[in-house]
Amino acid sequence: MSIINYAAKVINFKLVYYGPGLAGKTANLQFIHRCLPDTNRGKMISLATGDDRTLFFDFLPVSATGVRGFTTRFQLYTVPGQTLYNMTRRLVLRGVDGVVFVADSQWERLRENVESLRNLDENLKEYGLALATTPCVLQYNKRDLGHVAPLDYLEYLLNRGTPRVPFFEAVALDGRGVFETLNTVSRMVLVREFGQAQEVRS
Amino acid sequence: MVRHRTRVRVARWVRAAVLGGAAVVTATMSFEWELGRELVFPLRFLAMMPPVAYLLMAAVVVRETSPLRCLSWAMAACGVNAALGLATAITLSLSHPLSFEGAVMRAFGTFVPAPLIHLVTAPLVLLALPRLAMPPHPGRGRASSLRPAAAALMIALPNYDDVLRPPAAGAWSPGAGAAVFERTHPDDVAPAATSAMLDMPVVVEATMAMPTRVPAEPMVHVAFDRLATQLPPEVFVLPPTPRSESRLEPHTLVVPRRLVIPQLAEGRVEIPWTLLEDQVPDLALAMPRSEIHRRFPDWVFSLPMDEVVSQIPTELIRLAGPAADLSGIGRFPAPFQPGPPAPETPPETDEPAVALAPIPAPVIKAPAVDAMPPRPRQAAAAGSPDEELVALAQGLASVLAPVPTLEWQARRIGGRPLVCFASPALDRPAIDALAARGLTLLDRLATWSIEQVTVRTARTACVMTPLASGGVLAAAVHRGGPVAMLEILAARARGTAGRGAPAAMAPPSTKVKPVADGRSGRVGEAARALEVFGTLVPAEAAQEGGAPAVYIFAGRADAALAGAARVVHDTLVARHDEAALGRLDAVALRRGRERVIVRPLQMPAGAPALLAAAGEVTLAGRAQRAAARAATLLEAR
Repeated sequence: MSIINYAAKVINFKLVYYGPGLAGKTANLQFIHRCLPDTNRGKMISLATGDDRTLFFDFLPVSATGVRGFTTRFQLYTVPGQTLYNMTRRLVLRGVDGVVFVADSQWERLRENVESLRNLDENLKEYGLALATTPCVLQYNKRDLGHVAPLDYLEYLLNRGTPRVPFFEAVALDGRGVFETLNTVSRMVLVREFGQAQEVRS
Repeated sequence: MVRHRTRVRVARWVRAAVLGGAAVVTATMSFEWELGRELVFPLRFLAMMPPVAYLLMAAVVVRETSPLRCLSWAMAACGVNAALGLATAITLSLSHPLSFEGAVMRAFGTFVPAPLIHLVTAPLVLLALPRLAMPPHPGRGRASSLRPAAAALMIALPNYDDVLRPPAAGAWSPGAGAAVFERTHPDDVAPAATSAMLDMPVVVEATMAMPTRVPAEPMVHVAFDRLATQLPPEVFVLPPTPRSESRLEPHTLVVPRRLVIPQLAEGRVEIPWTLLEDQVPDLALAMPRSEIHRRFPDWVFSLPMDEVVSQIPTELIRLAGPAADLSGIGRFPAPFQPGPPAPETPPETDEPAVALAPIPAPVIKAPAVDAMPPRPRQAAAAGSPDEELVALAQGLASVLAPVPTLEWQARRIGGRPLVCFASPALDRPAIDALAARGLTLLDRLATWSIEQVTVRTARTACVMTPLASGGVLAAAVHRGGPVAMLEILAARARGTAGRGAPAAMAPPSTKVKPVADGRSGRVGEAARALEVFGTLVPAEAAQEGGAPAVYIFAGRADAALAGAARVVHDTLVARHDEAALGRLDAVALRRGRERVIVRPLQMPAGAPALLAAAGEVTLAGRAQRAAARAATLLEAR
């Protein structure tokens, strides 16, 4: 749910990067953090273990275009992917406006993708939300690796809803597909918040 | 598989050649040594003997075969017999002054032992060449094809093919000796096998006896090697490679596609062992199938998805639903325009514990009088503290505000700030001196990364904490005061960036030896009293020079721990101001979850001695009491 500060003319949106462990959620945020100008980004907080697993969550506030005289700010979160930390994931999802599901394209991680997507659906239901109605983008990450599943099968596996959600191939470490994903989910959130007929000021 | 078969065939030919060569040499040597030269058989009898004997043998060895097959086998044996005779004739002509005709006459008749040797050897040679021994014969059971003589040869000359061939459907060629079943056309039998897989349970013998053809069903072929890691090795008698070759379809497992399709949406395909076991021959298993079912009731294979999906027609997994509708988002420009990526720098990271319970920033911000407890008051500062020192002290004061009535003094020792908080009633100079000694102690144990030192005396407790800035925070309260709270607050004040790097000195090396009565006696009792530290190995560093003896209780005989204890002795115990602070009871060093407690001991002989106990401790108070009890036990030693 967006938070509007009328005094400061700021609208805050919450985007959550969801997905199985080590799929590349933190890598997405890190690349965004590196590429945005200082004026558009805040301090990135990352709580990771020594083996690059997110322990609690990552947080990166970024500001973007103005809409109807309001500055839009997006708070980007990741969740810990490991099954153990479902309570944390559920907490992070509270008040979510949009979701990026980062899937690991490797063959051996397919099952974890499916389980994580189901877990996302269940956790959204805890807040009365549903995947079908929440702005969501799929990102098939690690496409540069050799042992990855074809897009057809990934779509069959993770994107069988009606209607399907946008998807992007990505290599988060190199930035490929990272901003396409972020811009798309952000615009979907804006469309949902402001409708399609609003005038937009860049 | 092809290489293996070639190897087996070469081995058979070598075996046959050795048998034949042995027969020829035996006959030649017998002629040389004139063995059996006195035997005389009619030539007609000798000429008739091989075909008759071989026909009888064919009827006995392969009694279920048709007369035509008996005849063909007997003819093959006669051919081998003739070849052996010719070979013997050649060797005789070469090794003796005989004409070739004379040698032939002797090899085939006039020297009787030679034809007898050939008569016996020819079937053996034939048994070594199964393809020559038996023409293909569909529908034969393996057990019924074996005769005792053949089985005996099989035992004498083990042939892995017998194990490698699956006892499943197909057209078999029962061979003599090795009793090998050859599948003549692998593709013909796959459907029959899959039928058995789907319609469990299936009687394997029935499938063998009458291979059936079912309409071809789409199958998924999976490389057996990809599943090798999922196979419990104790189930099989063969190493991985021959095991892979023993499949109905060598190196692969076949799975009906209709079992695979429903699982594709799960991102994995799992097939129970019970649906695949028919593809593994009995002889490849190290235990009965019933035992496998009992020991591995839920054994499933996870098929490699890349192999599976590559064999699924695209139309089966292509989505027909509408694509995502993104028409509306075109009205909004892309919110984020990335610039060139900045050099990769690690994001700001915090320790989890800090993040969950953020520490107050070390910046002075005067708290509201009503909102905060009284802040520690500034006592007369030694010298003229600089602004930075004052700011540091005031920041620390706000952190320690929950502990009332503390006064602070700040000074620099060797350029490093030392901020000392103390209750007004305590002997201030003695506390300051203790804090200064604590600074020395922390410097000398810099390599240990000590996070906190707590000195407990009869009258006071002083907590000394190295700060991120390189200074030291010391805070002292009366004995019985809120020491635990002081430790927690001081740890928060310590900062997260790690300690500054003073001149690092490692504890002196000390010789340590395990205590002889480590399991019994006083030392053993002391170790048991210290069980809150975990499993301990009592050790001892003997007194040497002015250095005290040290009783060490740690997970191992730790020389560094003994050295650290002696540093504690040098800096704190030996220079302790007992008149002002009371007897020094214990010094606790905190390093992560590990605590080291050093206690001076009052030994009967008066020699200086220390107790040093180390381990991961969660109940600090209990550890202190345990150390006190252990010290009492040692002092009574």
